[in-house]
Amino acid sequence: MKTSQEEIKSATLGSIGREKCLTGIEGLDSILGGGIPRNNTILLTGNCGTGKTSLSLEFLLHGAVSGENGLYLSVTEPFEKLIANMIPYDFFRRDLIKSGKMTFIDISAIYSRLGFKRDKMSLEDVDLLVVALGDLTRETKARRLVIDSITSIAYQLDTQEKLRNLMLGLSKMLSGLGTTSLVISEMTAADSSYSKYGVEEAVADGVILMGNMERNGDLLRTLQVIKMRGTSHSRAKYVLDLSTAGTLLVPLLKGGSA
Amino acid sequence: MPVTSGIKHLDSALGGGFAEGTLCAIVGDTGSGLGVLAKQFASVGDEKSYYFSTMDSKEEVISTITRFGWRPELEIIDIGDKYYDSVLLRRLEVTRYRQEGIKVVDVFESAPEGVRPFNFLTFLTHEIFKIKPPFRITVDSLDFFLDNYGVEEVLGALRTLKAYNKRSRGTLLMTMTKGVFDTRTQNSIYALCDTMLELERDRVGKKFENNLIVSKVKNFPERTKILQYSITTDGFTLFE
Repeated sequence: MKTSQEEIKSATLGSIGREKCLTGIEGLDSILGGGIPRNNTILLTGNCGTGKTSLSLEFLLHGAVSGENGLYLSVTEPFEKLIANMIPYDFFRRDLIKSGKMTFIDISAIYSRLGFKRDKMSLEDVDLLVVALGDLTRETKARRLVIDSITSIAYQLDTQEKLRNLMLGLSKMLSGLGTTSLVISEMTAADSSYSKYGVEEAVADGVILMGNMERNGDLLRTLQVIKMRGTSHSRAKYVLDLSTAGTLLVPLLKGGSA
Repeated sequence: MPVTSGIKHLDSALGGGFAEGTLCAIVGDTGSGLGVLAKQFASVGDEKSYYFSTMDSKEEVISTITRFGWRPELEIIDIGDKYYDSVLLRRLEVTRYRQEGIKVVDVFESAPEGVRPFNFLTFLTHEIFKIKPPFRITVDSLDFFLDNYGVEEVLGALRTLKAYNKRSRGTLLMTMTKGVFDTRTQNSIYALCDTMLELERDRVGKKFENNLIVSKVKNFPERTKILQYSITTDGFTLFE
């Protein structure tokens, strides 16, 4: 695609100094001016079925292929199921998981080891969770991390203060470890902001919004970068094309053929 | 036919022993000999005896019983041991993870998630339901259940057990430490029991004065009285 290559050029020129973490997703890196600024914590938000999990898996997978370890922390889905989602990709290799390039961890296992009460975590528990996630990130030497999802974790927190502590703690810890992370947030159509509680988006270094859009009776997946500290970026809406070669982003006006 | 308590003068005070189908609570100060009384009761009678122990291990129960020269032919259900395995051991593990941190291998291996937590109150009720009459059952002590479950839950289980015990014409005896639980909890348990015994231990000068108070005998309020006791090599000995 000519346009996107040109975009990469201009974008890379436009952002000076900050090292980028290539998402590997065609089109997204050019929108972001070369990738996600390293060590940033990005909120990936959207309604259900908009491709948040697929996109973040692809982000990890591209990293793993190019030699960067990835850690996937899931609350909602068993990891066998997540792995099954990646098998169709041409660039997926099972040895990436076996060799520890990609690690999948169920957050509820951490809860039970640390003896958290499911209905209410204390502020101390929140700190302990951040420390535990830090330990795991260090141990796996993860340079890319995905949390799927912050909304599920937030259900266990009874105050916004705890959620704020969690988000700040996570983003500080991950940034300190040199880890670039995608934090998934589940929205419902009724939510007016970009996250369930509003706290998540305020604390994150960037917000990527994913959505569904109906056009000529087809439901299209869309992506829009709302905010991204440390880089200049397009704020236009793009259409997602999922293929076995990976996700492809095309500008909304040109897209929609799928 | 009244059921013997295993203690001579107590039987006569109760009118020959416990009435059939009695639910009896013994409430006492710590160190008053609650556990000894429970074991003495559990070692007598022709019916089969079941002893649910929340504190003493099987060996400790047997060793106390043989020390007093009683008959150690009873079935001991060690709840304390189960509690250790399924609750305390896990709590110990939790402190280790909290202190030392978590490794990938920790979240990968061992216990599958979503295992039903072990409910000791349900376990007690279920185990007792499986027992065929004639029986005598000792629960030593109720403190454990009140510590771990809500009062309403415990009372609910006791009501069920009381009904089963009555129907089976068995005897069910439970111990409970005095002054540990709030008045409302204590009174609810008192109200539920057919017979209530209290062990009181006071210091008078350089000696202990031990009183066994028969504070409730259902339908026979005239049988309530205060008896003095001491614990000798034969166990509980009462004085008129």
